[in-house]
Amino acid sequence: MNYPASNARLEDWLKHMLSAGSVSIRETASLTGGAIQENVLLDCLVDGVEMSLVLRKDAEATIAESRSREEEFALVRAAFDQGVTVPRPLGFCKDETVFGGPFAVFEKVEGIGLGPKVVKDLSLGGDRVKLARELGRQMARIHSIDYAALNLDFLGSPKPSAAHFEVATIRQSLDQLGVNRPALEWGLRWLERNLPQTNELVLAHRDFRTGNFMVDNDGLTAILDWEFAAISDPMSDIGWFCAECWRFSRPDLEAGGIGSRAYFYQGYQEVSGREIQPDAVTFWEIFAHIRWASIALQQGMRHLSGKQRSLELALTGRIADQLEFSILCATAPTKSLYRREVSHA
Amino acid sequence: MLDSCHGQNLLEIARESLQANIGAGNSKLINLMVINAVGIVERELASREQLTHCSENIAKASGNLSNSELCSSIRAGQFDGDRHLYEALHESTMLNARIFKPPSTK
Repeated sequence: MNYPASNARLEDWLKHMLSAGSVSIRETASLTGGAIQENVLLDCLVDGVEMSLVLRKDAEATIAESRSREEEFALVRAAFDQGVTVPRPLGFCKDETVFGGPFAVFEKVEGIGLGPKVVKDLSLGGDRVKLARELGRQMARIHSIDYAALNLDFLGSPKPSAAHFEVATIRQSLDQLGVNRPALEWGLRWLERNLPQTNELVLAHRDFRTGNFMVDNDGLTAILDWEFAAISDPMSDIGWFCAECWRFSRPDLEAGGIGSRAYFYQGYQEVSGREIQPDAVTFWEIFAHIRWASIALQQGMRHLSGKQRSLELALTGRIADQLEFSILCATAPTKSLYRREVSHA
Repeated sequence: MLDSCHGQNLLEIARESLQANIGAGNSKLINLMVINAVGIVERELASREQLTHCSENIAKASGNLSNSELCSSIRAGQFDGDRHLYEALHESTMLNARIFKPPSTK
């Protein structure tokens, strides 16, 4: 990442934004995580007091679905105001001369976010039953945000239904990438033939999964990565969180490798009062594998296009191979969603 | 058009990554990714015959459609519930999944 030679402009901006008498940036460091955005840790002295901030800006190449930093900032602010556990949003800067591109600044939150580690290391996250319930509550709070009352006009509304819109969007992404993957087309066609018969719409996070929240030794510290948030079916977030591809080394723990679905669902229902629809969740779990495959291919293409040569991106592109197998296993011609016996306990 | 990183491309970026990190203090992650990439290419080369066999089976099941024609036809519903195509795709994706990540032997 290219940092400006001097932090003077950024310090001026922070001073104004924080209404401080003086801001001095003592150290900047790239943070791990954020495959699509770049996160920079800013260790500052604000009026002589140590303060750690996180600056979030676009990577050199991004992917089509990703929201702008300005939109993401507005969404995090809405979530913060609703009581969702997110890093406190501090300010957004459009002026590209300050740090080489638009960016948002948040208070730094302590914790570990790396999905495989969070799943495997039971010293993290506190009591796992409580954590699974709390994640359900957090998701329900997101879904209760009155987005229509907020100035979030950029969100739009999926038509004719969230499921139909999402399937069409993935097809469009694959077409734009110029990739021909029969297994993904098979899965998309299967979804099209098994669309859920619901059309409730909420503000959905759309990347609420293990790996995108942080925990410390006691429990949850932050829900991160709001760049895909949009209006969608509430069951889509539940399906994304529970999809097998996000359970890492614990496929048996169906709520994101953290705990059982029952505890996660309890927490969700306790706050939202909404019934879980098992068939719709299954639909969205299969969709999750297809969407993740599409995102992985886009990540691989960032490398292949030469815009951002990276071994990590190249390997991410290959994850699509594994996801396609899961998709085929779930969509045999003999399987119809509304006849399936699915365990949601 | 190439839609994901196969053999040569994967080895090329693995070599570039190793070169860029020679002497770097914290290169464990890079080393692990290079090992992963080399393993994928190794399995890809060892599976060439099976990959060809899978492609032939898909071609047979689809009536020799090109990949892009097959995608369009699936999207148009022309293969809805087609067991032969499903089985050919299932076999192919299983092989590719195992090339990406072999089943655990634990």
